[in-house]
Amino acid sequence: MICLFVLGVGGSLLSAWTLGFSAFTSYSYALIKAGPLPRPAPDISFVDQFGDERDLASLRGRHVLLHVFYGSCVTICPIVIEELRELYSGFSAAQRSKIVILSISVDSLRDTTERLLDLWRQVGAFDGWVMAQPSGASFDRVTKEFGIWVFAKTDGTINHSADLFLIDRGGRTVRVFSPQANNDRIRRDLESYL
Amino acid sequence: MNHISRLLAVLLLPALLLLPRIDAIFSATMPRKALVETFLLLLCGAAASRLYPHRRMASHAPAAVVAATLLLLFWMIPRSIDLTQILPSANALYVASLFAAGFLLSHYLPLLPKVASVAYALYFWSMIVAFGLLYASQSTLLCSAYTLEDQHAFGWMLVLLGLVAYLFVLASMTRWLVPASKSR
Repeated sequence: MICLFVLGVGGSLLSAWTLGFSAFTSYSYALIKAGPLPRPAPDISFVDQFGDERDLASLRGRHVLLHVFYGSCVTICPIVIEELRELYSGFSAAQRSKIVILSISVDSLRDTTERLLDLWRQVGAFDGWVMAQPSGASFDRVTKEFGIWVFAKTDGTINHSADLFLIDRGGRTVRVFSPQANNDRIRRDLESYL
Repeated sequence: MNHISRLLAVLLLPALLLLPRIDAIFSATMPRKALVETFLLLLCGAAASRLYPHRRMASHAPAAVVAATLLLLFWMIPRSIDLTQILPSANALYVASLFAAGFLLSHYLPLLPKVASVAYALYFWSMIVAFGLLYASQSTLLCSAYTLEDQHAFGWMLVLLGLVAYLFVLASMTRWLVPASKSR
């Protein structure tokens, strides 16, 4: 009897901790906790690579591919950015006019406006690619609402979700692409929304 | 060495692991945190259980073993390992619960019928191998507190440890079964 009780209580706690045995990592927990898709995308205020203060609402009417990154990352961020560059340059000019890539830095200290401008030039200086640092104190809340996990380590590196969030013209998050999703699949999915 | 000093000796390591400087040494890499520290705490718990040999109740053994297994499972979850790096209180819980798991396993596992404890040991170590393969084979980061290289190293260490322990349990089982069959 005690054994069944321990099993029941322990199993329930494990289930609650992993959202019904579906979220075992901090990344998946944050994503599932943010809620089912489609969901309204939280508004983000940011300063773009030209130093202009903007917000997500200013991009309404275009599809937005949002992700977080940081410029001094030597692991996943350069790979994601290169994949995005390949994806974006593969679209026609007409298609690009309907899609914005919004790369938000999670490292406001090192990713200054000048550094973001440099990075933007390095990836091809596309009009529809915004490299930004968040402004305002609400970025933690926004990352939580998006389902993005950010963990700043003591050695200066920052581990973070590398998912791509597709926000439709109406400002709803409609798809989340995992870092494993290849460009062909993302392109096909994006084209179905255009 | 009297009883109190032996108890203090086995409590010394868990207490040290709560100190930020010592914790930083173990938390530096995933194999140190999730493997070395885990097994040191289990060993400390097991050593502490030896100080209370007469207070065992066989009827509580299955519940105690289940509780210890659930504690170990909890700290195998990547999100739980992350939490130890974010909240000092979670790290304290990690230290205390793994010490308790070692205590419970060492105290109560021998009270189970031999066949049950061997089956448990085989299952436990195969679970460790499975966890190890999961950590070693994933190309995405599971624990945000560590690197992918750390994760793979941790995974392969778990596989190696699990296989060696599994073979050891099999060998002991054979030793246990052979005299039993000879006596028939």
